[in-house]
Amino acid sequence: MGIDFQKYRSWDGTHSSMIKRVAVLVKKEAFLALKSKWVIALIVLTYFLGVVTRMMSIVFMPVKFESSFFQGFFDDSQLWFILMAAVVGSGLIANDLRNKSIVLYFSCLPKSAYAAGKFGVVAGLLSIVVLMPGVLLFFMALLSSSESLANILDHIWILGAIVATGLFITALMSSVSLAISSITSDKRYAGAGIFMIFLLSDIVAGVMKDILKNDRLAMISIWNNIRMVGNQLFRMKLPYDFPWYESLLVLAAVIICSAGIIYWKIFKKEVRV
Amino acid sequence: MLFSTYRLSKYYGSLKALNELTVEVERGTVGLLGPNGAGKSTLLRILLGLIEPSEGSYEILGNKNGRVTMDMIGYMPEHDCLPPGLTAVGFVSYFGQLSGLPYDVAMERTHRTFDYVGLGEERYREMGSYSTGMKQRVKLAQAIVHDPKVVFLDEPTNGMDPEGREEMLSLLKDLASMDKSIVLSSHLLPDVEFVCKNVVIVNNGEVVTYGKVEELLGAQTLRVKMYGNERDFVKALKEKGCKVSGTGSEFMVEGDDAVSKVWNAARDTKVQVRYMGFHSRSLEEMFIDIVEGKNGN
Repeated sequence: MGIDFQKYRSWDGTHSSMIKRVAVLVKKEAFLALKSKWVIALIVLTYFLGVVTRMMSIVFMPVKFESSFFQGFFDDSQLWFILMAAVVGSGLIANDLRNKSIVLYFSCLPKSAYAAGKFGVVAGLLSIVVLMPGVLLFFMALLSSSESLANILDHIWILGAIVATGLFITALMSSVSLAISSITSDKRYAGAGIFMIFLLSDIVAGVMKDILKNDRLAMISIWNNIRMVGNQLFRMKLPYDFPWYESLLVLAAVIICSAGIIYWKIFKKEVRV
Repeated sequence: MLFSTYRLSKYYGSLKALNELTVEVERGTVGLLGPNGAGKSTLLRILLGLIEPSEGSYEILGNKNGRVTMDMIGYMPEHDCLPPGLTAVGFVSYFGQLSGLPYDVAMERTHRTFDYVGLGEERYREMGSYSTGMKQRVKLAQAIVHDPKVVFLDEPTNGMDPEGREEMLSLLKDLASMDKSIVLSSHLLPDVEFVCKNVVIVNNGEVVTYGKVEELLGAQTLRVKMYGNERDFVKALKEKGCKVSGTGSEFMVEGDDAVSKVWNAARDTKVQVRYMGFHSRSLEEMFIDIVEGKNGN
């Protein structure tokens, strides 16, 4: 392994814009994540259980354009969403901390671009299982529906509700999983943390609500709050006896806390070299 | 101007990592020297924008307080920072793109840079299996692939065998000849002496000395072995304006016209001069003198 005396050459071309560089980060990290068999399995599982089974029911029994049919997809698939966030989001920052490659990123990208890129990776991959199947389901139902065009157009708002709910879940889960990934340098702990935050809050809320017979305790569960906001968007009856905007406030607080953790860990806390 | 700092301080609780550090460093090759805990890494981290100073200001390439465009900077960290699942080609081209190179340019420059740093077919292998020397070459390639104006190198020869170390230092010298500024932080003083024209010595968070290596080492000292009353001899030399260090019968003497002053002092104090010869200090000796405060600083 001797030196091959190739002369070093300068380059005076135009540098790519910051948006393009963030896109490079998103593409590379997403590509690496998609090489994981777990990620592929989760995508397949979500589409099979969430879309294919629903489509089969449509084939045998054409659906009415009712919001509960579409909202049900989000409710039934929560476990797959959580697993996807845990598998994809856990290592995004934790691995860079473990490899100490985070300083290399910071030496060539602003910290804001790094955070945006990492958020883009988890949000992009989550939207594959959260947002896209919902939209796909809507158009499949549209194609197989026997209802009149006028009736379908009357229910076009459901597509808006699907997109809004999907984006909201994606943004929430992305920020939570990124925040937890920035806390530890071990992706296993981060993955367990993400899983626990969603599942444990659900279990605790269920137990406490049953013991104390107080509907408001359902607010402890992140998923109950998502369900409340989702039902409001899909114009359905609220599952708990408190205003939906209180749930929205809780979820907004979760997102703000997550953003605060990311800001503290990436922007304020010293990066060791 | 490569970089300048003005009363730059960094506190960690009650500990002062940098204490009102002020220095103006010219473009070119600069060695950053100092004992462990002197503040070198803190200074490097601040210049790279990885941490904020507690007080004071700094400029790099004329840009104030880290507002330098990152495309101008390349950084080779000391520690292992290579993600294990990537090939060297994938890693360097990826960071080339993150530094602003378009995809095709990044790929072309990645291969050229690997040819330059001497990494052959191994570049297609996953980096987890690389030797320390190969990892150092990959890190150097990553730091220079996007053609930065200034390259920060933290212990670039760490863990390399003598042959690899020599090759790495030759590469750095070659890079420096291509109008690139190099900031080399190393505890291996011969490395700094070989590559750098300027040196900044930091101790206790302050700049102890800054200047051209040539000039700092230029002051030749006279090595004298004598027999007789050394106390009177040293006193006589000091009275004649010489700087004297050493104990016993062997002394290092600095000062204008030191040779004749030694002869005169020997005659006046009736001692025998048994050896006298000029001695060039190495950077290592100068560093030890400065850090231990033996040269009057």
